[in-house]
Amino acid sequence: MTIRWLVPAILVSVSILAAQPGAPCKIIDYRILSPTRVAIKCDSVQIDNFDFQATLSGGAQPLAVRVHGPREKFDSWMLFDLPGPQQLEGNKSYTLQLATTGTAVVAGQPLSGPFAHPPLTISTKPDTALAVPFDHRRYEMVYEMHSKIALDPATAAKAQLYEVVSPALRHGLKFEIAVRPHQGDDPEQAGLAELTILGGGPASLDTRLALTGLRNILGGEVTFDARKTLKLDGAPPSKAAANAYLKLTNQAGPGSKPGWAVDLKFQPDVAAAGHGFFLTIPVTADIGQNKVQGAQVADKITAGMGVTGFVPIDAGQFQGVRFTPQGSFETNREGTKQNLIFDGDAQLFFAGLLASVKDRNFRSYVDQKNGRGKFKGAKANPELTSQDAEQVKVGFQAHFFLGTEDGRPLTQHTVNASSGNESVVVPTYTIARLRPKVDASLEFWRLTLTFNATPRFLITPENVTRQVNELDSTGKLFVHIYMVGASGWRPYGETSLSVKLDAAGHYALCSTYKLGSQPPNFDKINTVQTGITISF
Amino acid sequence: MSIQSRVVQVINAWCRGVTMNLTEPLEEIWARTDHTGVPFQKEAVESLVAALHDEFQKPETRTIILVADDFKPNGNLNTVDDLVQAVNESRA
Repeated sequence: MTIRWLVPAILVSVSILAAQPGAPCKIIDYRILSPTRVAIKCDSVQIDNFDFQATLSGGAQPLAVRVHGPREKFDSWMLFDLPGPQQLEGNKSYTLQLATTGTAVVAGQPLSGPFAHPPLTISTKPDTALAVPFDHRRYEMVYEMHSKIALDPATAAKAQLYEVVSPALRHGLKFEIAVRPHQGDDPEQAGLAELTILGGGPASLDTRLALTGLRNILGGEVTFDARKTLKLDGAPPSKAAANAYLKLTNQAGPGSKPGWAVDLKFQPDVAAAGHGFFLTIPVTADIGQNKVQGAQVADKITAGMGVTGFVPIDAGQFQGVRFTPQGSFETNREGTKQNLIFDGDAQLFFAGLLASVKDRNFRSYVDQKNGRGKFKGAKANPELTSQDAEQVKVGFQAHFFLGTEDGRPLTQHTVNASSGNESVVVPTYTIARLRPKVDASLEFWRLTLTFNATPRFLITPENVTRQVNELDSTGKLFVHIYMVGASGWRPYGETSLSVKLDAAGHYALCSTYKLGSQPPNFDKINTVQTGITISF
Repeated sequence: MSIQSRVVQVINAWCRGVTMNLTEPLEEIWARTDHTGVPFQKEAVESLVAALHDEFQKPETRTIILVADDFKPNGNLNTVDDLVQAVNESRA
């Protein structure tokens, strides 16, 4: 007997000696692979090489079947075949009573009962659960369909999908369906299909879908439970929480050309750097063109490389800190500023501040499923799916950061006025800034109000340029450029209201008010911009 | 100790709770164990990967090359069982 068999055999033997209902195993799932073959799944903690008799009732007469497994390839799944010409029929409810002889063979060794597990109900009624998108990075919405009965791929071409708007109104959806072939009777693959909704997808975050035409191998038409709604995974509620973020905005005013602005953030983790840190190459830009009379746009581009890592802290309300030290190149759209800085950032995580609609719904689902939290005392519901859990419409979250920016310009440089011949030479200087930051968002239904403030403090004065329109000795208007020192507090803040356009909220209309000044040139900004936001 | 036991031990220390069964999704374990300030993706996942990395430096060693995107929702790793399998399949 190998060690691999010995350990579970001992575990099972001990559980039997303790005279408790722990063997042969706890059945947690089943799949109907064909009209004559069924797979059942044990909680995989204790299973190895079971072989026992069972009785299947619910048909014309009770049938004795031999359940055996697991087959090495399909760990923790066991199989049984119906004897002779018997076949499972559709729309029935069968009952499988395990180890009816009171004995089982585990790892080649006979074991005696009693085995007190309740009988397993095997339903041949066609039903299918629809899982939330497992890949929402794609524009198309992709769902996994799970059926306990293997699906018939030949019927996929006849399938139709609808969004149920009301009992009397259904909208057809463009979609593709790929039924996964379950090669070699693999129960993990049986009953699975990938459903891709093309185009804009359902119109609501909370919707019902109806499917017709797709059949299972017993001939039953696969349907979704009409009572169950489909909840879509939401987009990150704020720029701080997003890995990829793009905001395109427009501003206009009397007597001015329309202006545009782009606010971009891209922060992928590219590789593990060891000790829990990951290499990251963040790029951010907040730039614009054609400023409207009296309203300056932000003008900051940074690109860097560094590492980022989360350090969990077990200190009550303070739950952890993410450190992101990096080298960064900071410039403006014209390239007149070229600063090389060390950017050290620490994001602080506090208990209770992560409560977006998405987070609250997920916690509510887990609490209901496990009978805990506000559902303590209620019966746990292990079969609950996230779609059926109690949902909320209001959420909030807040992020706190402490940071520092230290460095200097690469070279002394000459800055030309935006028009005319004037220029000014800006000598190099030391950059030493403290950068605390708070980013908060409040969600209600499809509306999101975000607020972020960066009360930056310049420890050493920085050389920046300013421009004013002046009259020369001939009375002609010209642009005068000069250098000043920026120091002390240079706060910057944004407040934004956005309306989600798509069901998942990756696309939104937004209006943003920006106030304050940003490096590298610390021009004063006081503007309202309206546009579209894309975040993932 | 088996790979499975070691992974379960790492998960229990990571969530400061107890793994109920191997089919429980890691994200549900994280939510169940009262982490209301740290998101599963990617802070919690990164700390889990770091803890696995530390554990499997010891014999019987495994080379853990997982990143946050290997876990749900962007990747395929969802349950305790999935993680055990991923570690099992890692290079020794």
